[in-house]
Amino acid sequence: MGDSQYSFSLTTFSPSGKLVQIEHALTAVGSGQTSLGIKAANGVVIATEKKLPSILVDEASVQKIQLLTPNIGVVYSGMGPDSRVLVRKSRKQAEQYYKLYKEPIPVTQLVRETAAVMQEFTQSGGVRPFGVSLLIAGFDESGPQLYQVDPSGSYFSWKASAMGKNVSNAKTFLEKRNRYAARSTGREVMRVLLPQISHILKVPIAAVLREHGSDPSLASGRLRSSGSLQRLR
Amino acid sequence: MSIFEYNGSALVAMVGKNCFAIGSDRRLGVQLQTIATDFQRIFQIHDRLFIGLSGLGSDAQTLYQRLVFRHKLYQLREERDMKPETFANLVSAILYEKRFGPYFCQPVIAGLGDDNKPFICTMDSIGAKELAKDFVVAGTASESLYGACESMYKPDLEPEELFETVSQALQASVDRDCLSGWGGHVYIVTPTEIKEHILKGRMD
Repeated sequence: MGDSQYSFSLTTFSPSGKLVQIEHALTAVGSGQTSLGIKAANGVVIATEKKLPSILVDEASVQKIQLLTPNIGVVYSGMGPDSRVLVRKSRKQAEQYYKLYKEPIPVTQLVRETAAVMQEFTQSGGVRPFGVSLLIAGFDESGPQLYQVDPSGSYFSWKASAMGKNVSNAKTFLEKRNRYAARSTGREVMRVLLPQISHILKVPIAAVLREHGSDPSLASGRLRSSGSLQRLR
Repeated sequence: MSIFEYNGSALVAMVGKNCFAIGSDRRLGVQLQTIATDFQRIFQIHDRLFIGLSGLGSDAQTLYQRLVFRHKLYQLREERDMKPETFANLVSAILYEKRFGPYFCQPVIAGLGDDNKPFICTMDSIGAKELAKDFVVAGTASESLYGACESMYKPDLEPEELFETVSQALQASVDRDCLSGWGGHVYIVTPTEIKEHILKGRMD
């Protein structure tokens, strides 16, 4: 222990005050597949690029949007394996909260716990920061909510957000359609905006909608690159 | 003799129309010898949530301190007060943590939830909850309290009548119990105000 300089955390401040490892993690996110989230009047939609590396891949095995609790979902941009670690830890946090209070964890609480884990991995020894940014979307007593969590552990609440490749194009689009989304239902956002985004970014998209009182699995679907929405179940 | 009966206690909570009452005796004894006649067993958690802790006095105070600590942390984290149901689940979890060396307390929880719906519940010393629509009792006088409450309780009482009912039930019961008594302490909680009453009964 403490034999060499490498027994310290890899994320050490550079003389200019930057944490280079975190900047590299953000680069990994920036080159990852595009994901986006849009808050609507009665729900919130998260979507991500679903371009398969080869036509031989079994499409059903690619699940980039996952549920943390029945009313909170998450999507990532960046490194898939890293996201699974976070999903596992977040699900455990949510269950622990439920076990203690017999009440589903509020979105803000789960976001904070998840962000705390990501921050811890920028300061601990023997680990590296997560190469993912997360969009956490959910519905609770304070209505629909959308948060983005970055590898540094910082998080923000958004009306709509995008991350990954082509993030500036996606964000420009979301800024233009922000007013439409705010007064539309989640279903409308999914039917109208997602095909447009899919077209602009020239990628197929998978999306999940979380609406008040709806079953998320019923509302999930896959968008063809042509823009039409195909029901999965 | 059970350690639950060492200090003596009587606790009762009743539901009224958009209000609730929670009452206790004021005696702290060591078996049959009275030590104090102003002992506090009912504690306020927030504006519309109370907990009464029957059983061993020292454990009641320690458990109360832990509950205040947990509730303050919750308030800071979530920027809101706990719902009565949520608080009951927290108390239950804290008690069950000490399953094999429990706090010798039987809590009574009473609170007003959203839309002013009253909530009452009790649990044993290892956190097994018992919910009720009308009234809950605990302590060494619990058997006589069951009888008194069953004969005196009426649904949807207004705050003033509810105070009368709880106080009469409490006084009648502690007179049938050697280990509790020396007056009573009753809170009446409505959506707009909390009334605290100190009762005098047979002060012997």
